Amino acid sequence: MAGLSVPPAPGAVDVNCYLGRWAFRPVTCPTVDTLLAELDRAGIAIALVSPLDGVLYKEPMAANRELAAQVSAVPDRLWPVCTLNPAFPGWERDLDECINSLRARAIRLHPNYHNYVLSDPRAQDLVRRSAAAGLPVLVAVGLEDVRMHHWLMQVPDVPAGDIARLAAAIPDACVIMTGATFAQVASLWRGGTPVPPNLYVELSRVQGPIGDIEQLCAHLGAEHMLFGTNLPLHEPAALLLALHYADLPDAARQRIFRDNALALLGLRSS
Amino acid sequence: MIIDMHVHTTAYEPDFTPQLREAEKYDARLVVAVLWPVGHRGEEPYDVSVEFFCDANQQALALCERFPERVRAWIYVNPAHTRQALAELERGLQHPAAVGLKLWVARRASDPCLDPLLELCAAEGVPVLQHTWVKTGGNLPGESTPEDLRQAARRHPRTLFIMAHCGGDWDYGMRAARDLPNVYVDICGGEAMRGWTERLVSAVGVERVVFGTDMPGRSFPSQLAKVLGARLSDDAKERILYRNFAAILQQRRRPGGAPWPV
Repeated sequence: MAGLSVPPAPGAVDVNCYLGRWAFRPVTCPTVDTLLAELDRAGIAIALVSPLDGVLYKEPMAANRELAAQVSAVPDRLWPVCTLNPAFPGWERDLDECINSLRARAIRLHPNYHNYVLSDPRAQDLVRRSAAAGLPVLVAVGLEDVRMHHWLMQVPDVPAGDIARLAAAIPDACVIMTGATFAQVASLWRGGTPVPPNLYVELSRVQGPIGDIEQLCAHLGAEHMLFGTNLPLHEPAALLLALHYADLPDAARQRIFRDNALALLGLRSS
Repeated sequence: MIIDMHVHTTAYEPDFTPQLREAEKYDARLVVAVLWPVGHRGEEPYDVSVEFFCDANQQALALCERFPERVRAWIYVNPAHTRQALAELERGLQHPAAVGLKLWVARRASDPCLDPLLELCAAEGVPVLQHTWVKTGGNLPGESTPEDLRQAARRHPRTLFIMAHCGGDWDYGMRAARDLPNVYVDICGGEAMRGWTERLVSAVGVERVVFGTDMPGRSFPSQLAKVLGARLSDDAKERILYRNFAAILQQRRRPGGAPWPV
């Protein structure tokens, strides 16, 4: 190991980043400027940013509009991801607004915080329409360890198998599983759930066991793995260090840090 | 150099190679506690028998002898078997590679049955690594919270405690530790959260924070990120990663000890 600093990942694309405040404790980077400072420190070029306040809003459009306004100042760095709740009436019109007015680059779902399941026809309809608009759909398994949730707000994680089945049911969609632990991702192959080709896994909460990244590569393939931070809740250095020291070919590392995300977003790596 | 003062063997498996490979990659020394010894699969893993913890320590010390440059050991006991636990701790600490006492989830730290063990550690000048966690969904019956450790630390001000995992939810841990100078905290086990290490250092002081990984359940880089990712000086990072725990080892009173140099 060399030195006491974290090797940055120049040009990386962070597909799992939030902007805003978290109701349960202060965060270090709740504003655009503070978030950009964190991204700069890690060498991250582009971040897909979802509204953190929108996790707890029943009707998240107000958070989406605020997010879009905030990130519009740095359109080359922060790309808005809009959170929708298909269990709330009128989401179809909200989706149109997210695509046409708010310039969403992807759609975000929180089935656990918004109290629906991914087999709900409304959720599947939303994913189908997002796919038709060319937008990836990010589904958050969880935001933080359930063992430290607030006493009055214990929210179970979304089963990884539900997300895999959603992707399998809608093969035209690009489904990105975010905030899953290694055990949750591994539950797919250990439980015999097929991993569909249109399912991608973001890695910010993959923090063990030993050899976690290498095992995921072996089972999923590097082409299905994506770099993310889960900022402002999680520490970006965890995945930066894990990928830097993992026994991976450099080409696989580059795919995970950047190329896979750019391809999913319809862009080429420069 | 790094001292990873909180490592385990893989449950009921003899192969320690993955941990050693990580240690080599990150230039780390390992202090191991065997909690799931080979040959005891299927037995009660929490409120363990005397044979269970004696075998665990025999296997931990065997690793030290096999990898003397790289590995030291915690002596693990179930304090409910007080007499045998005390005898095992006395026996274990005679080994120069034994660094102190490890307590897990058999009994809470506030339980008076721990008292003779904690007194022996004070006399020997060795630390007590006590597992702590606060789980919103509820702890195991014998699983200590930071408050349990706080009670023990107040009863035994001459004993040096290390609050493992900083209570899981660090807000609990740092508040429980901050006014007790005989309580250190280790930062391993949970996910790496942005800003937590800076807050912990601010609350308890950098001199009372030590580094561990909780391998193999956690990966080395995820835990190292808590230090390297923090907005701290290089001096503070070096203290947490190595010097603080090396200084603890220097307090061992028994002659013939082999602590790593400060």
